[in-house]
Amino acid sequence: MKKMLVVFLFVAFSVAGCIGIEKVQDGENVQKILKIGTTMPIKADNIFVDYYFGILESVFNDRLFTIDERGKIVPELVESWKVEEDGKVWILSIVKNATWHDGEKLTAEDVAFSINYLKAKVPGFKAHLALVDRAEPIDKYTVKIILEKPWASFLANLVVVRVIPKHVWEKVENPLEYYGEDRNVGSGPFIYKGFDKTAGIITFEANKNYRLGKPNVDKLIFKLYKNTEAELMALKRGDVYTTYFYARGLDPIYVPALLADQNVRFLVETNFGVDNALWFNNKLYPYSVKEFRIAISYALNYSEYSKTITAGYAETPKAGFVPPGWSYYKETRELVRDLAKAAEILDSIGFKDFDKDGWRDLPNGSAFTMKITLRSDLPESTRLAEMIKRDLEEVGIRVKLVPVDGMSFRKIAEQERSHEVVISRTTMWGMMMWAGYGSGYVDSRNIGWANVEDQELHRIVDEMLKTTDEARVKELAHKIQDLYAENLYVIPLYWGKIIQPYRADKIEGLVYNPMMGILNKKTWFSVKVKE
Amino acid sequence: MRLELLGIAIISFFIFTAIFAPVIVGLIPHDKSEPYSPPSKNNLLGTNDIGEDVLVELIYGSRVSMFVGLTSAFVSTIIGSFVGIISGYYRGFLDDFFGGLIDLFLVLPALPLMILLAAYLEPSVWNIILVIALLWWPNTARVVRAKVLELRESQFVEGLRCLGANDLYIITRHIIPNVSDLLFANFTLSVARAILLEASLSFIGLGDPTYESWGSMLHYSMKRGGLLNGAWWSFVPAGICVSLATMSFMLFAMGLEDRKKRTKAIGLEV
Amino acid sequence: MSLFQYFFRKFARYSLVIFAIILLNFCIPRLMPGDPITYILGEDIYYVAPEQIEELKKEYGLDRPLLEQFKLYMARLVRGDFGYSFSFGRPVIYVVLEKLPMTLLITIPSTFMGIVIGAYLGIFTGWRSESVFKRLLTNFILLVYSIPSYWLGMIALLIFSLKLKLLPLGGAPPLDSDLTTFISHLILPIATLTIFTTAYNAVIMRGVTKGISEEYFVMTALSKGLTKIHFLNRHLLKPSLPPLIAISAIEFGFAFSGALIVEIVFSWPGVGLMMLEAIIARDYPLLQALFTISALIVVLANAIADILCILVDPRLRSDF
Repeated sequence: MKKMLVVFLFVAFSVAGCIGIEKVQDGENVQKILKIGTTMPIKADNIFVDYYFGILESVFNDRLFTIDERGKIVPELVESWKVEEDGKVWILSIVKNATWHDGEKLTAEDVAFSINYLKAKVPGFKAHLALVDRAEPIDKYTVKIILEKPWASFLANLVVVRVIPKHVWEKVENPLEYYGEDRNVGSGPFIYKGFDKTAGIITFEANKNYRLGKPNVDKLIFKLYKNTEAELMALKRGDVYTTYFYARGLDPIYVPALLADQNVRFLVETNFGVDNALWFNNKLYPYSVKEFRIAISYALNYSEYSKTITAGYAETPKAGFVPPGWSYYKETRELVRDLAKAAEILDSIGFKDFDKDGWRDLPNGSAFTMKITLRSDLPESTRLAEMIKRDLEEVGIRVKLVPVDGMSFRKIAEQERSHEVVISRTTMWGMMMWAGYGSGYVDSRNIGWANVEDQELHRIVDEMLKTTDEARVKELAHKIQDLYAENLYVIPLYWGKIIQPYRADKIEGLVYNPMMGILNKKTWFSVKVKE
Repeated sequence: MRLELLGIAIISFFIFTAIFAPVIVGLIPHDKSEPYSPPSKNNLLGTNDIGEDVLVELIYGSRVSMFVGLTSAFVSTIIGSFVGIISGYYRGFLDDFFGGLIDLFLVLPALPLMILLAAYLEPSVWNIILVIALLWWPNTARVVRAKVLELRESQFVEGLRCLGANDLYIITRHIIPNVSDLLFANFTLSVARAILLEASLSFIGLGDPTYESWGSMLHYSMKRGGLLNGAWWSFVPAGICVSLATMSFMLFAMGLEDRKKRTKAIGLEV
Repeated sequence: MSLFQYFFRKFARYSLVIFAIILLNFCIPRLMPGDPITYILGEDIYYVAPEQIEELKKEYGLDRPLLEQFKLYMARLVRGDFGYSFSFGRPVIYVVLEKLPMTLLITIPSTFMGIVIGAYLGIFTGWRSESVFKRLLTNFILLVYSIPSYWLGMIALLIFSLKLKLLPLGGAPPLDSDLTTFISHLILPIATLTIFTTAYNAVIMRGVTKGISEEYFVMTALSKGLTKIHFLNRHLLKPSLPPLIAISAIEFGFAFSGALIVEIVFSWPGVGLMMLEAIIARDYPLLQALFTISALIVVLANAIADILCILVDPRLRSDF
């Protein structure tokens, strides 16, 4: 017992001893500090290990290309680029005024090194850069990337490439285990200052030598919270000025609780990803039957999903799947609930209740149960599944929900493709994958949750992958949306909004970006921290 | 004694509710409303995060809790008493083996292991029952074993053995009847623990999402803004139900224990 | 049975238990569906060819035969090397050591208070429990014992954090916080844990005391007219010591993981919360380490308790 007491006292004193250390006042002038709350589960400050810390990389490191407000790929560290041999060779000219935080110049040497190094040593990038044969510097500011085969949409892959300093990483054998002091040396507007794991605080300082000028705030602090309640209470108290979560924004269920607060305002932005959708395995009977999929679409209660899951911060989706906001968005038929029509179509294609047990059977008379796989770790997903089950049962379709964890979900839906139907969401970047417009999720040759082998879809995708002509790309984008709308390989359940709360009395000038949210260059140069 | 009756009354109430859930639900107003509507005429206990009636969910939730509680306690009591009797009666190698097994299970951190197993198995009511029963039987086994050891050494059993009675006869006719009180009290306690454990697993999000249980009501309330929206009705009633159900079984067990004079703690230790 | 034989038997049994725990810890995580590779690849979905996945598995040694993986695991374990955590990106032992103080910070005070208050309440209510007050108290303890800890935590958060705005909504105190802030973060988790350890200990001690109070030697002692203090010391405290030692030992071991649910409710960044994260991430090495360490602590505590009990009360030896 005494021993315990001693241990306790020891712990208590050692923690208490730490209190009061970091009480350094900046005497000269008042620092402008932007405090952002996040519930992203950041565990390690190594961009190659921790996916969510990797999201924060955009704060301290620039990339070759980035995404603008309209979702278009625009150059960042690249000045100009050209494509040779039909998209097999890519030549990038790098900006000449970029420097690393440690003072070294950022050159073509670094860019070429990054691409080769990432492909060789970092697991995730083996896939992103699978097509790259090699990258080599031509001169100090020009780099040449040679692909194994022509690839028109290679830019989308370059968006995710992290440009890292050669002089730091060339000596590192395993980047996943590297924790040297210089591991987060970047070229971006902020400099990494440290991660206090116990308190959950990540600190960045403005980079005075940033090539585009010094950002508006002197210090950027991320406070980590384990749950949204704590995060939002901190927002209400003014401990943080805004919140951040990659590709999600704030869960709308919390909006009513914040509306009462005079100081809290919201940016309500278009989501370029599809929040939740019902994906059929189109290779599997009866999901391969177009009329069957259409009948299902008439059984779903879209307005209720929007009301209960997003508190109304969503619009009723259109059959074309791709949400508005994308540059070549095409208006298609709106999805509606019409139980009579659903029943009529199901009857007409022979899905009737032959054995009079209350459930519709397959046309050949055998019993039918739709198995919907979903992620058990996402509460809104399980809630949505409950509602879908109830709605489908109203038209006589028996449903079995199969909740699985996130890891198993990917195994089932991507590696094995053994699912019948899944409920899942897509991110903005995900929509850009493969040939863009969500094709990566649909096409059986890529991630393919919808597992579509339709010749026409494959033809359109193939052409999109090759075409660089903008007019033609637009035509193809419209074509693919028409194809989605006609076939309903996948049924979007609602097109959600991204909700970005902030303290209007503390800050103004946040700019939203469809991929990175508020963490983007525009924000750094327009945000104002009020006194 | 009166408290024991109270326990029985609450147990009967919950079992009645569980059995007649659809009928009872038909008798009360339960319109679907806005998410987190406060208690009103149309929703006596308000609504949850997707606008469903909390009272209706509570009523259906009693089915899951009672079913999981009774079934897993039953299974674990069966396993536990079997192991306890065999190990206490035959001693020797069997006792060493089972004793080691019991020690092992008693030592394993139960809740984390249950979480691990529940995460491994696909989330369903049956798997939860399996997990609880698998990790709970050693508690019964240990208590039964001790009692059987005591009975085995009693003059009566010694005498029977000298007379040439076979083991099966002694066990079924003399050992089992003598541990039945203990078993019943232990079973009742196991139900209480199982109800609590089911609620805990569901709260963590490892329950069966296709059945609404009291634990999952707490889960959704915690995960989907019940606290921040001040919707106390989305989690207070569910917690009260869990506590009441657990306590009623414990009161019942305590009553049973009190009735038997001179018993050691029959296993109120967990 | 001689004392030596007795200890030897115990030792053999505990060794077996330890081996079984290690074996179990090795097997369970590997039986789980999904594999850590998908986690390494991150949350953003992109296409990964099957060959690439195989290649990754090779890199992490997950493609080797189970027996070989087990040998590797044992060899490392002996050296105190618990492997490398995929999700934290650091050696497991660092990760655990980093979170351990946080858990101890809330579990040690609550275990300590829980044992003291609980034992007192248990002896008080168990000893001749005829009075109305004692019965009420007993039932109140029972009620607390039946309440799910996380639910009480939620209510505490609702009242003290959201309505009265007195205490923070969970999480650990920041390093630069003053003493008031620091304590304010600790109050709710420690209070919740204490309430439950108290109820738990009280229920057990009540049972023990009741058993003892009805034994005949107590009756004789009382009839001999011993003073109350003398009696309490000699006849009540001494025999009830072994179970108390045993409980304390087990509790100490369980403190490692027992705070799990409370940590979830209060977002307390300790070992329990980490265990849940490790399960979601399928972080095998971290899970193994957490289970091995917590189970070993419990075994050790049990073994010590066994020895202490025998020394305090030799009568117990006949049990085995």
